[in-house]
Amino acid sequence: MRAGRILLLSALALLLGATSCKQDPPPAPQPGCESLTEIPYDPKPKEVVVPPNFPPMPIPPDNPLTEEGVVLGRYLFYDPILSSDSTMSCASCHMPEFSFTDGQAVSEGVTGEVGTRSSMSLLNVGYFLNGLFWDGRSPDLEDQALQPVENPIELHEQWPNVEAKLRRHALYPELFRKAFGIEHTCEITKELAAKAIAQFERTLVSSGQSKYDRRVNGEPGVFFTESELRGFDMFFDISPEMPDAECGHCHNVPFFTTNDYFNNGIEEVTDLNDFPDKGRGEVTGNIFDNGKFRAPTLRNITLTAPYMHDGRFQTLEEVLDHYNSGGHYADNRDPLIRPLGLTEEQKQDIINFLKTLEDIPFTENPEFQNPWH
Amino acid sequence: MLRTLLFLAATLVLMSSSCRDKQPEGPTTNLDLQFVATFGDQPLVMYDKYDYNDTMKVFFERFNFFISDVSLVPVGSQDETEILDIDFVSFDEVQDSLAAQQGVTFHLTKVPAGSYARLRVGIGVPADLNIDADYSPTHPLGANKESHYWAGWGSYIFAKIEGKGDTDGDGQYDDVAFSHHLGTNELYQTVDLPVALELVEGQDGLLKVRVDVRELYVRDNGMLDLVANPGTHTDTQLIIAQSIMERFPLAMSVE
Repeated sequence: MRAGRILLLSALALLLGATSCKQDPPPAPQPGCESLTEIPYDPKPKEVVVPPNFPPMPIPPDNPLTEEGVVLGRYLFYDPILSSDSTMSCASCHMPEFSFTDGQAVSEGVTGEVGTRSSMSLLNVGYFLNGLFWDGRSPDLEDQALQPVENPIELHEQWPNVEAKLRRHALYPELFRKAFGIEHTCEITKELAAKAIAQFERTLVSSGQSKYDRRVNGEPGVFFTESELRGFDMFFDISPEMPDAECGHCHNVPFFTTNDYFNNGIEEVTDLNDFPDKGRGEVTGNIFDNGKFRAPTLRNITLTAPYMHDGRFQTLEEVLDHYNSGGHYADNRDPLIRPLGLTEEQKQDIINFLKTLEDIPFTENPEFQNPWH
Repeated sequence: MLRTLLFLAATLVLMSSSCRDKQPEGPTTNLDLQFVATFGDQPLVMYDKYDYNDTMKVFFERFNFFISDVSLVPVGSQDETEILDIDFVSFDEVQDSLAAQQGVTFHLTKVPAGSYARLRVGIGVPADLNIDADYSPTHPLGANKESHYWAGWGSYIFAKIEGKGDTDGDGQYDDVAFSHHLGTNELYQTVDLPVALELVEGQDGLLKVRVDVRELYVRDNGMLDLVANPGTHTDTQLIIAQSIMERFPLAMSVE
């Protein structure tokens, strides 16, 4: 019995001794904060290729484009992980085939609730430097990308939940590491997610292959038809023999927008407080901004029906009818919105010119499509 | 190829313009160059109503213009000292009397100290800069290119004046909407104004320039008929544009 105790003690001592000779085990990783340093971080600068008639795109110095950042942004853009019930992504309202709109008058969120405004095209959005959204409430893409996630009528999720989902995801920690050099999964933040989405969005640039671009860039053998040329003349008020359709003042080259805010007379109001959607005025608090909305790009306008901030016009013919009428008076209706006196043929000429802005190579660019498919 | 040429042209233009910015020798100081707008004797506030003539009241919604080659001429000399290459003066956001008093101010540094007798201000974009170039988004010509470069003219719009008028006295300003966009190289103006400016090293100076928008519309027989001349977009309306631009020297004064 005594010998047995001695043996047992000896065995325990040996066991303890053997254990103490081992190195201390590494501390257990904090849940959700695994190390990523074994994954190489070697970001490669990404150049935004723009058509010859476009200026260089301004890139914020704190979010330079990299191949890895754009890849991450593209995955995030198309991933319903950003929504509360994993059914909607950015791309649900910004589909390539509709030039990154959704083809709806107003967009529906994850709860089925519909908003009051139409999805805006993201074509050339990297050049929109005068505020984003119809009312310009967001100063830049990095800020803009944060907002739909927590909007109850859009993705209706909370960013902390999204961050948690991204940190425990099988793919994203590696993509964030490669894009931004983070060392632990817990460094995945909404700000980095927004930066990546912004990087991807800055690549959404016209192909330069629309008929209009090919014509103005001097591609041999590309000419406007007579109708398109008449439409071009009226759009930009080139020829004194043709009516001035006043389009180019708000939809100027090369982006076919001036990135400014206008009351284009679509709303009949008794006074400036009467606008059902105050638009820009909601942001600035300035009564004279009530009823003003961003002039959208007309590039790919054939793909982005219905039209206006609330999608009230189904066709370009309806849009031309509105502008030809001069719209409804308000003190802040733009002075250039006035009865135009265009004939049916002239309206069709302008529509035919607008069709030359269609850019299918942009919408079909493989680099812009859903990477999850 | 075209893009490369344009880039080179823009670079040359920018280099040539930067060459104008000689570092001054001798003592310098800061100078606030302030622009305020009026309609006659009244401060110009967007959307405020003004008597245009006996039969018409107006309000303005936009009044903006480029200034360029701004220089001071010392007392007893004809040598110009350039103090500002080009910038953009916009009263579009002047929507109350306080903003009207403040106007638009450019804070200039390293202005040579001295006694000055004249201020020269170019209204518009000088021909060497008035090209379709890739100006940086922070450059006045880049920041305002989408709203102010008009490809149909091959020119920047030097100035925009827009508003509405009430001709029948019903209080509704829906009788005329005017939109005077003024540009092309021929319309560039240089305004030469007498000043009595003493700039002393270490003491900030102030130069306040008043622009009377009403004066731009004064004609020999009264005021420009806005109903007959609501726009200045096409070449055929150039004469109206020219008549407005040529009155900038009469509309500007130093207080």
